[in-house]
Amino acid sequence: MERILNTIGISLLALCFVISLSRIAMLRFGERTEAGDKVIEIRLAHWQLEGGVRTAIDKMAEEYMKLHPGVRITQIPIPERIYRNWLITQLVGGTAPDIIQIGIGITDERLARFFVPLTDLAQKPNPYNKGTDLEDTPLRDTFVDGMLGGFNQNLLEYYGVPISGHSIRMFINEDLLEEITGSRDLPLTYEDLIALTKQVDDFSQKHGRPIIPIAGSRYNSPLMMTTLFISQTQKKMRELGPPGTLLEVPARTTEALVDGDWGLDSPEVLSGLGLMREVAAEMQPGFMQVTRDDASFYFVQGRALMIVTGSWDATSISQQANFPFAATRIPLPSRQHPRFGGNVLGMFSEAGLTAGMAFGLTRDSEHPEVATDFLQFLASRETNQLFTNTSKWLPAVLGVEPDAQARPFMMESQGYTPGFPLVNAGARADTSRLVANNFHLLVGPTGSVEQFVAAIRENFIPFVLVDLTREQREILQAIQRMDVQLAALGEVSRSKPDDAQAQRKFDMITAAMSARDRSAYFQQHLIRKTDKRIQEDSN
Amino acid sequence: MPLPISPKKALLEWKLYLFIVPSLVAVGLFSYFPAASAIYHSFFRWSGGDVKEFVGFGNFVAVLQDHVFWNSFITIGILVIANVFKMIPSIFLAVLIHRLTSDRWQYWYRVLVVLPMIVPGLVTLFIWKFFYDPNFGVLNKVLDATGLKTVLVHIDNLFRWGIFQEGVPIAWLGEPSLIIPSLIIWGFPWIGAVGVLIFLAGLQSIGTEVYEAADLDGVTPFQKFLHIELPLITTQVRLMFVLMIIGTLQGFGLQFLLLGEEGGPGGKGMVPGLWMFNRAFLAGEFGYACALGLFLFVFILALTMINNKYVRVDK
Repeated sequence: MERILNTIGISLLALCFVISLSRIAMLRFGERTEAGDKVIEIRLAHWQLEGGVRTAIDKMAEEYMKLHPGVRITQIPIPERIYRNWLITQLVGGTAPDIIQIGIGITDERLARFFVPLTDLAQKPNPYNKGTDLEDTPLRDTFVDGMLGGFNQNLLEYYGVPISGHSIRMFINEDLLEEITGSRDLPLTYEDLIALTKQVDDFSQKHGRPIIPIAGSRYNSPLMMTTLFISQTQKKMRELGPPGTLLEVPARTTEALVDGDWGLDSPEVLSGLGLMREVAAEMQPGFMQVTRDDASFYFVQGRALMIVTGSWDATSISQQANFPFAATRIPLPSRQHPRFGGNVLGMFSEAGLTAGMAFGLTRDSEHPEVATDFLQFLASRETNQLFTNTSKWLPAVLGVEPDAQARPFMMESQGYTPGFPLVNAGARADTSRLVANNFHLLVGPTGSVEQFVAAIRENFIPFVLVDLTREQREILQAIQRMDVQLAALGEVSRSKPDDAQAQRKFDMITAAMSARDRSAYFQQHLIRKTDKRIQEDSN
Repeated sequence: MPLPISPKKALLEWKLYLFIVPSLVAVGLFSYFPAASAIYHSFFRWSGGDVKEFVGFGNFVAVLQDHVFWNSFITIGILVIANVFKMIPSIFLAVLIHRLTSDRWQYWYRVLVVLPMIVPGLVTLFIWKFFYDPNFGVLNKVLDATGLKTVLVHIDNLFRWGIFQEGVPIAWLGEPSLIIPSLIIWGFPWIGAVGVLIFLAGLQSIGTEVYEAADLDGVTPFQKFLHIELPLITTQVRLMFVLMIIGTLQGFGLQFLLLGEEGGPGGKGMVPGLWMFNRAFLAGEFGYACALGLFLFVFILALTMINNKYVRVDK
C-alpha cells in the first residue's frame, strides 16, 4: 500500500514538473501562429486594480489580437502599494515589460533612461483613427488635453499615451443622506458640509448607530484636505505672479517660499491648516492608520456617509455598494465664511487637469514597433470608447462618449485657479516625510495647528533644500544621458546636411536639451537661494 | 577536530568536488554577488541605473550624520529586548508539550503548533492590522467590553499622557506613543512554531534517566524546568536568540505594512531596514541605501560575534 501511495505521489510530482516545464518552454521559445510564425508577446503593466479596468484592458487586447493574430497582449496588474518597488526593480534589472503605466515611481531621470520618447509618434496621425474625423489629426491633438497627460515638462518630450481622464469627488450615500436629513440635497459649500456632519453626529447619538460622517484614510483624507488647503492659497497664488496655466507650478511656489513670500506662518497657510484640522475632526478617529481599502469598506458597508476619492474608484464602489450614491465636488468655504472665506476665490476650474493612465514604451521592449502600434490602437477613438464603456472611467480621446456612470466625474472647466499645496508635487521625498511624520499633531485629538507648525518649522526649508538638490541631480543625469545621442545626431546632421529628418531630430533634441539646461540652472539658482535662506535663518 | 589530510589525498577523487559546483555557483550568484555589488555601489551616488557618480566614503560619512538611521536603533533596541521576552511563551509551550506523557497527544499538539505556519505571513499581518483598527478592531472592542479602556483612561488622567480618552477610540497605529507598544503586542501570545519545534528538539534529547534521578530527589516541576530543561536547551535558546536579533535588525515588513514607508506618526516605527528601503525606493538613493546596509551588516556581525564569544553554554 505504502509503495503504491509513494508511486502515485512521485508520479503526480513528475507530471506537475513536466507540465510546468513545457509551459515555461512554450512561453520562452514561443507559441506559433497557424502560419508557423512565432507569436510576439507584448506585456503591459499597470497599477489600476479598480473594478472594471482589467476587464476593459482585456477587451481592448482581445480586439487588437483579432486584428493581429501574431501578437499576444499580456496584462500584468500590480498592486499600487508595491508598484514603485516592483517598477524600479524591473527597470534596473532589465526585465521591464514592453508597456508600463507611467506615474508612481517615475522620475525624470528614469523616464529619460528607461523609456522611449514618443514625440515623433505624437506628431503623426493615428492610423487606427482612419475613417473618422480624426483621420488626419496628429495623435496629440486627438486627446482632450492635447496629450499633456503624457508630456514631461522638464524633459520636453512625450513619454506616455493616456487613455483616461480623472477627477476627485466626494461620494455620498444617498439613502443614508435621506435617512439622516430627510432629503437628498447635497452640500454645496463647506458650511453645508459641516452642518451635515453635525446632523450625522446627532443621528448617531439619537439612534445608537455609529455613522462616520466622512470615511478617512491615509490615502483618501489627503485628497480632501489638500483641496481644502489650496482653497486658502488661491489669492496668494494670484499674488505670486501670472500663472499662465491652470496648474500650480512647483518651482514658482518653491521660489516664493524661499523668498519669504509665503511660509508656515503666513495667514493663508495657517488658515489652510486650520481648515484641514477642522475637517479631520469629521473623519473617524485614527483615520491616518486606515488604508484606502478599509475606508472604502466603511463607505460601501454604510458605516460612513461620505468618502472623498477619485473617479477611478466609482466603478469599484458601485459594484460593492447596495445603495445609490451621488458624486459632487468637494465643497469649499464660501466667501462669506467668517474664518475661511477671506482667502477663497471660488470653486477651482478642472480644465488644467490632464488625462491620466498614461502608458509608456520601455527601451527594453524586444518589439518596440508592435508595442508602439498597440499604443496607437489604445489611443484610437473606437478603442477608447470600448475602454470607457467597459470600465466606466472617463475617456481621454476627443469625441468619445462617456458612460452615464462617468458623467458626474466629467471635468468642470469653469472656475478659478487653484492655490498651491503645502508640499509641492514631484519627488519631494524628505519634505513629504517631514509632514507625514508630524501630521498627527495637526489632525490628532490633542494636536493643534501651532503644534504642527512648531514641529516642522526648523526642518521645513532645509528639507526642501535636500529635495531640490536631489531633483537637480536627476535633471543633470537626464541631461548627461542625452549627450551621446546629441553628439551622434550632430555628426549625422553635419555629414548629411540634406537629411531633413536627422536635421529635424537634431534641432528637436537641441531645443529639449536647452530647456533642460535652463531647468537645471533654475534649480541651481533655487538651491543657492534656499541655502542662503537657511544661513540667514540660522543667524 | 578532524585530522588534516594531505593535498594529494584530498585531490585523489577530485571529480567528487564537481558535485558542489552548482551549489557554489548558486550561492556565489545569489548571495555573494549582490553583497559584493552592494559594497561596490555604496561608494557611488547611484539611483539604480547605469549613471553613477563616485563619492568615495561620502555615503558612509552621511550615514554617520544620519539622525533618522541612528534613532531607528532606539526602536530596534526596544524591539530586541521585547522579543527576548516574547521567546518565553515558546519555551514554556515546548516544555509543556515535552512533558505530555501521551505520544499521541504530543504529536497532535505539535501539529497544532505547526498548522498556523501554512497561513502566509502577510495574511497574519493583515489580520493584526485589522485588530488594531480604532473603530472596528478587535483590540479596542475587547478593551471596551472588559472595562480595561476605562482603567487606561484613569491611568492616563493620573499621569497626563493625553493618549487615552473616554469616548475616543484608541488609534493604536495613529498615535506616536502607541506605536512601539503596538509593535510589541503584535503576535500575541507570541508562540512561534519554529521556536517551539527547535526547543522541543532540544528537550527531547534530554535522557529519561535525568528525569528519573530528579524524581527520586523529589524535584518539583518548576525546579525541573529551571535546573534541568532550561540549562540543557541553552544551545537552542542561543540559536533562537541570534536568529531573533538578526531578524529584528533586518526586518521591516511589519513596520512597512502597519505604518507605511515613513514609519508612522512621528516616525516612531522607523527601523534601520525600513529607512534603507525608504532611501532606496522613495528617495531613489540606492548608493546611500547600500551604505546603510553595510552599517547594518557590521552591526549584525558584531552582535553575533559578541553573542558567540560571551554567551557561553556550559552543560
